[in-house]
Amino acid sequence: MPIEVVIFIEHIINGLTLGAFYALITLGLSLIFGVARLVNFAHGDIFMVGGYTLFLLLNLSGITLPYPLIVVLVVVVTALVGLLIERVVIHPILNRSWRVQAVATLGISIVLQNLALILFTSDPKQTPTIYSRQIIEIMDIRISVQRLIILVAVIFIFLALQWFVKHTQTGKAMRAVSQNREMCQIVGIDVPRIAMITFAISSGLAGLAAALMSPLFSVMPTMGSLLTLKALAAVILGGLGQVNGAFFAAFLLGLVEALFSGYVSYAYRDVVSFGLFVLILFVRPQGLFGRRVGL
Amino acid sequence: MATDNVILELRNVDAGYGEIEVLRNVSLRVEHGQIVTVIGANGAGKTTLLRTIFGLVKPSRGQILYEGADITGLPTLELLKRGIAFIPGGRSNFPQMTVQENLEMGAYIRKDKRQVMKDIDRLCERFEILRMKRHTPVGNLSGGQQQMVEFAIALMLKPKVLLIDEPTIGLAPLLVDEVFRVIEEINASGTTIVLVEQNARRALEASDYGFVLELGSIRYQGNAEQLKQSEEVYRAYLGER
Ligand SMILES: Nc1ncnc2c1ncn2[C@@H]1O[C@H](COP(=O)(O)OP(=O)(O)OP(=O)(O)O)[C@@H](O)[C@H]1O
Ligand SMILES: [Mg+2]
Repeated sequence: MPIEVVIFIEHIINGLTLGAFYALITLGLSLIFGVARLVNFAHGDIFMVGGYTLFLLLNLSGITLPYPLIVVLVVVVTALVGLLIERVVIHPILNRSWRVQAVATLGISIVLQNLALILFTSDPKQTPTIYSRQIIEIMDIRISVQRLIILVAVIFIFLALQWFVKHTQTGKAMRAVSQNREMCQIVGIDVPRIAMITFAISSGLAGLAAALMSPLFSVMPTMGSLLTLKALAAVILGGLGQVNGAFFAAFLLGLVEALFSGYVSYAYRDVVSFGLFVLILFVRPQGLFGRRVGL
Repeated sequence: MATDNVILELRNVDAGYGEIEVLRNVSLRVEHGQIVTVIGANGAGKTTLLRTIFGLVKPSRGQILYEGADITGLPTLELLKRGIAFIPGGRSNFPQMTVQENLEMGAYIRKDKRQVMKDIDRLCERFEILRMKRHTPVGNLSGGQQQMVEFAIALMLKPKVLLIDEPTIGLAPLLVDEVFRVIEEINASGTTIVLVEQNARRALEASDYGFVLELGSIRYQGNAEQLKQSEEVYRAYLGER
């Protein structure tokens, strides 16, 4: 195969992986937004907590846990951290104005980042797994196994979530809350309880993203900040409250970013994704998918 | 009214929103099995009255009794379990969920999920619109059809008392008749109905008893027939004679 084609395909695969990663982060953010009408500015920091949890689990003295078990543990830990945050900080402000909520979640973000700074310092921590250096080669195209894992996992999670909100009592209640909160009270759906469950799921998804993606990067206290903003951009692009729309917008963002950093400039990739965001909103203020896609 | 047949009673109830007092010293009794209409001008407090009975607004004074028990201040969930349901005015459904799913949400607090599915089947047999649109998102239905779905959502809990707020608002005359036919049918199967309706004449025709709310207080009450014949009520709420 000509080298240009190989490189192009590798960029596309990198873009899809990055997109899948963004999609996983975005999924959680947009679930919380849809159900609780709350923008969680600490979402990326829960991802960061997942990163350090991964780091700790990979460096346990004496025992080497299998990677799949580590992934499950990271998801459980972040879901519990999310649950704790929801109980202590979010629950009391569920019906307050967006300003109060923004300040509260920004506060959580600052607390988590500084806790990480105290506990782990600002030095980047490496979290390689046995898969992050494994490469498979198909017709000259080289793909890291870790990236394949991410792609497959995210598609699986997306389908599982679809099934969950369509076929389970709690999932249906999550959709109900996102569509008509007032009516939920009238039929007896416990809105704060559904919001709590959603927060735990969303945090668990951020943890999953950390367990799958950190092995390709490194773990730092500030690793979540920019990510929150990018996921927020995807949520807005997808049409606020539209989980599927946000999911696909995140993939798009990843693809554009990977292609741009591959062919033009790595340093300016964030400028491009946020530039694209502004541009699309200029043309379609209701987001790419308007109000039609639905949770 | 015979006391032992009273299913719902308000005694000297004051209620409102924070500093804003809306209901003042409201006392009323609803007899088991009747259709009772509350009429009144815009802003008189009709919706607030229903929301207070349903526990969404807490009374600042007075008592609410249901089946002889004091239910003042009980949470809505508890009232739902005891057999009070509410159909708010405006669109009160889950627009992106199908008719089937909306009915399932209506039965959210029920534990007998198998029986719920049977009840949904039964309702779909009873109302043709539900059967035809069972797997269509409710937001895609017409206003009248959505109103029928909202009735069905409330019926999922087999309520003993059904509070209905302005069910015919914005509907064509033919559909208004259909809505009243359904209300009478629900009543005939044993459910007591408290109805708020801007179409006072039509509502009184379907009702046994009526209350006129003025500035948050009961101004008149009586049998539907008496109210229709009352000179004052007629002038204020039923148009020129
Ligand atoms: N959530 C609220 N907060 C503060 N005031 C309210 C609220 N809801 C209603 N009110 C006020 O309470 C009064 C009674 O309102 P309510 O909705 O009960 O009247 P209504 O008889 O149902 O009127 P309509 O015919 O317009 O439906 C009005 O003055 C209204 O402005
Ligand atoms: Mg009203």
